[in-house]
This record gives sequence, C-alpha cells and structure tokens, in this order.
Amino acid sequence: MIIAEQKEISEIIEMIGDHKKVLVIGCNTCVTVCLSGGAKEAAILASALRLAFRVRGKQVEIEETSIERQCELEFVDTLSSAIKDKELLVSMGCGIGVQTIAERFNHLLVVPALNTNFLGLPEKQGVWVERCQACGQCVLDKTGGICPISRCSKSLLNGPCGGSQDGKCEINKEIDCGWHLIYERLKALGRLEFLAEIMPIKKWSTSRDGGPRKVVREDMWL
Amino acid sequence: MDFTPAIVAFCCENSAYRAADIAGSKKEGYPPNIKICRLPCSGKLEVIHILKAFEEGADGVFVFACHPDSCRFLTGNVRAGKRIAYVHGLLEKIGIERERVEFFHLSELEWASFLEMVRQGNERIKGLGPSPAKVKK
Repeated sequence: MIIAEQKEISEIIEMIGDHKKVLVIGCNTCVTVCLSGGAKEAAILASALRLAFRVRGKQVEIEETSIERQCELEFVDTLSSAIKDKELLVSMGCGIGVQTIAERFNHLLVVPALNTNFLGLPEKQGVWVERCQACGQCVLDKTGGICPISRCSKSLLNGPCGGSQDGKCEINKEIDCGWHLIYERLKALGRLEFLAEIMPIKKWSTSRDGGPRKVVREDMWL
Repeated sequence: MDFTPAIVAFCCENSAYRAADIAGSKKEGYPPNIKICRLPCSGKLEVIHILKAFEEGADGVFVFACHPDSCRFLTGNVRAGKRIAYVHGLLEKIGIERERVEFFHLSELEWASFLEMVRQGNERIKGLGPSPAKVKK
C-alpha cells in the first residue's frame, strides 16, 4: 500500500492562508492503514485547525469528511455536495488522491495535508517500511521474493556492493543489506544457484526514467 | 479577574470514577466546574476527545488513568499516556499551552488524592486563564 505521513500543522495552516471555507477530506484506504489520513485523522486535523484559527483570531469554517478512495473518480464524485460553497479542499489522501480530486473539481484549489513517502507495509504497529519502487519490471522471481530495487540502497541487480558489512548497508547500520537478505533467503530455500544467473542491464524506461507511465487494457474498455 | 475555568475530567471507571463516587458519598465536594466524563478504560481516550473538549469551550482537560501496571486491560493507561504526549505536542503547535492537559494516575481507593488533584489542578488552570481557543462572546 501507499505510505504517507502528515505534514506539520504549521505548513497546512500556511497553505490554507486566507481561505474562509475549507473542507478536510480523509481517505479510507491506504492512508487509513498507515494512520495518516483516514476518517479519524481527518477529524483530528479539522478539529486542530479549528482551534488553531481560533487562537489566531481568524474566522475560518472547517468541515471534514472522508471517502472510500480518493484515487477513484466514482468515490471522488460522492464529494459533490460536500464541496459546495467551499473555497479550499485539504486532501488527506496520497499524492494520487490530491490529484484525482483536483482533476475532478478543477474549479477549486486542492492542497495536500500529507507527504506521500513510498509503497510499503506496516512492519509492526507504528512502523512502515518500503518494499516496492514500482519499477515496472519485477524481478522478485529471481531474488527469493526480496526486491533488490527497493531493499538495496543502490538498487543493484547482481549482488551486494563493497560497502555491505555484517549484513548491514553502508549508508546506515540500521538498514539491512538487501543482497545479504536475498542470499540468506535463497540459501534457506536451497536455491543459491539463482545467484549464478547474471541479470542483464535493467530497462529503466519502465520506471520513472520513461516519463509518466500508463497502463492500457483495451479489453476492459466499456 | 474572577475566572472559573471549564474543566473536563476523563476518568477511568475502574479507578478515578469510583474514587470520585466515594468522595461524593462522603459528602466531600470538589469544584463544580469540573465535568467528569466516564471512560471504560483510559485506553479508550482518543486524541479527538481532548480536542473536542477544547472546541466546546474547555479551559483544561484532566485525564485519570490507573496506576502503572494496574490497568485492568493491561496497557490502557500506557496508551493514554502516549496519546496525552501526542496531544501535548499538537496543542503547542496550535498555540494552546500544553499545561492545560494534565495526566494523573490513581486507584479507586484514593478518593482523598482525587480531591486534592482536582482542587490543585483547578487552581493551576485558573492561573493559566481562559483558553486561547475559547470563542470570545
């Protein structure tokens, strides 16, 4: 899922600026699970903003709502009545949610309340870790299910760099060496021969280097 | 200025709520401006409850949890403590003094301590004056 964290409230206050009618919109999917932008967080942010503006002696009307998914137009459409008479929308979705709302309601300014961090998972309650960089060309079949693109700091494809020590990465001793993990996993699986296969130079055009990406399936068109 | 603060006291029903009840049955009064809100456990307290109290005009919020290692649900009091710490940080960023939210540990038998805590807490909130987030009428 997409992992995001809330911006500092001072930054959100600054983005609201002099707008008088504001709607804070939560998203009930990924950012609910990473505790940054769900219905609960939307209620907290809206309440905190109301208090903050009162303290500053400003009259700002702040309401909150939450929708199932900010990244799908069907759900974004359900905001139609809630956004009436609003001057500014504060999205608590990921960057995709902000943009979907901005595209759908292009007469209104939409600002982000979150910083979108990465694709990952909750390692334990309150800790989220990166697992995928959406490179568009998955090699997990060759690496025992551990991604060298996201788990190796240098995204190397054929073993660790010279900086790997005691299973840790040279950029930070808290970070596991992705290739050490791959080696240990393949060893446990009895598939160390996988490492003998040299992975060719990666086609990065399927990643961000190819510009904005698009997936088309004409068979699904209506 | 003669100021009577509005204070909401969130009380765990397994400790402070009972202590308040015992204090009441002993005809021991405590400041009437303190409104008690009963919680099934202090771990039920959410950040939004405290913020809403300030939105509704509270000048201070007290949270009463069981003593460390005495929570009937094991870690409710620990969770309450963490949420209070989060609220303290948030309030400071908003511009509300963190001292307006106080956290106490208490057992149900400590009714005298409950009275002392609310009386002294009331004086401290009085000293802070009205909440800066209070709507001026």
